[in-house]
Amino acid sequence: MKTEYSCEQCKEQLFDFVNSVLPPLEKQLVDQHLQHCAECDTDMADIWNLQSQASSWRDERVPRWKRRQFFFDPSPWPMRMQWAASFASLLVLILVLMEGRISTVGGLSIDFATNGSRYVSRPELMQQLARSQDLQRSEFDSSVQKLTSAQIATNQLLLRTVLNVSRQERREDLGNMLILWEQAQDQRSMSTEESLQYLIASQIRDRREIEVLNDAMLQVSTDRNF
Amino acid sequence: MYRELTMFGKATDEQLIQKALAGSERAWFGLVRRYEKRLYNYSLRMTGSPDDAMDILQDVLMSVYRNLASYRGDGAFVAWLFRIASFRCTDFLRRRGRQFASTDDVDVIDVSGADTGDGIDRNKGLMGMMNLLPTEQKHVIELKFFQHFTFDEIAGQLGISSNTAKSRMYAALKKMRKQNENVMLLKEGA
Ligand SMILES: [Zn+2]
Repeated sequence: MKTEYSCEQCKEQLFDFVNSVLPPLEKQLVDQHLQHCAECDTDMADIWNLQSQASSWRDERVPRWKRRQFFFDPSPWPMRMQWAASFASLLVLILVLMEGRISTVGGLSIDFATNGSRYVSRPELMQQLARSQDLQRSEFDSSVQKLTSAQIATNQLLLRTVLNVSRQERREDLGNMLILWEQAQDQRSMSTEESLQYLIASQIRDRREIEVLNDAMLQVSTDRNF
Repeated sequence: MYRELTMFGKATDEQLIQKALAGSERAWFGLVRRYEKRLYNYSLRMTGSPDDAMDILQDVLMSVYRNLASYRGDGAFVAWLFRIASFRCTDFLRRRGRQFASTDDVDVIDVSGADTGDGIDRNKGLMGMMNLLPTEQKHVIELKFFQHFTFDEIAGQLGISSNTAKSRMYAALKKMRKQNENVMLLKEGA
């Protein structure tokens, strides 16, 4: 064989040679070079030695640590619905505190008050639900009837109107909730206000701390890509 | 081989990342538990100190957490993970380097660890040997001999060329060999 490896070419392949992953031709060329080059031969032995030492490493156990410590803020990722959820639970909390009541146009009403002896039992609630469903159904039927009698011919128009009716209903529900919310706000006691303020303040404080942290991280990131 | 049995034992890294990004805390913990041991032992060899290793582990995971949305899924997650680990670790060692004296004048210490059978002693021997190397050589040795990345992957992780990675490896091997020879001489003299 005419071609022979230089030291540089040999060193290129040495790691793979030690791990026996070289194609036959390259393996032969490295073999040949090693026979007359003490330096590369020493390198080869070094690789082999360190590899066997490295394989004797015994993984040590990770000490206990708080894995939860930085999973507390969704801000680095796209906003999730957490705000909506906490707002909803806050609203319920206030409704309970203020003994509020929600009722829909469809006839369903939910009482958050304990109102002395008043107590909504499960069958009662189911009854209410069924009643409101019936009401909604008849309302829907009547609006369809109205539409038909008005001789609206195209299905498209019919569909749009039905959608509008239900949208209107939903808007009214939301309107009712907002009124309740406003009433609750008007009536709220000092303690509720205080706890709310504390809640909001701590949210803002958390956010600010996280932003500062984030900025510091970004600073490091721009310094070195990460 | 590094995978541990978790609730997400069968999920791929990418699946866990997607779920974590969608807000699953459990998926994130699954990912953390999958790699924390490997990262901790990596940091242990890079720093030689359990306390520093813990600092780096948390630092790296924090960085991964913050940057998870920017992981594009092109290439293995583990390669991306160790790219971040390399950056964070270099930064850490540089900061620590300012606090302590340079590593150039280390005393000759027995790093062979050959005559101590215990696993932890063997680890100590290896850590001592790693500690002799300058940071940039340490990285290549760690990523090649312990993490088993290809030279191309290492080049990508350290932002150097594949050839530079190789020459750093040979420089490190030479340094370690000299150290071993010194220890042998000391033993013969004793
Ligand atoms: Zn040679």
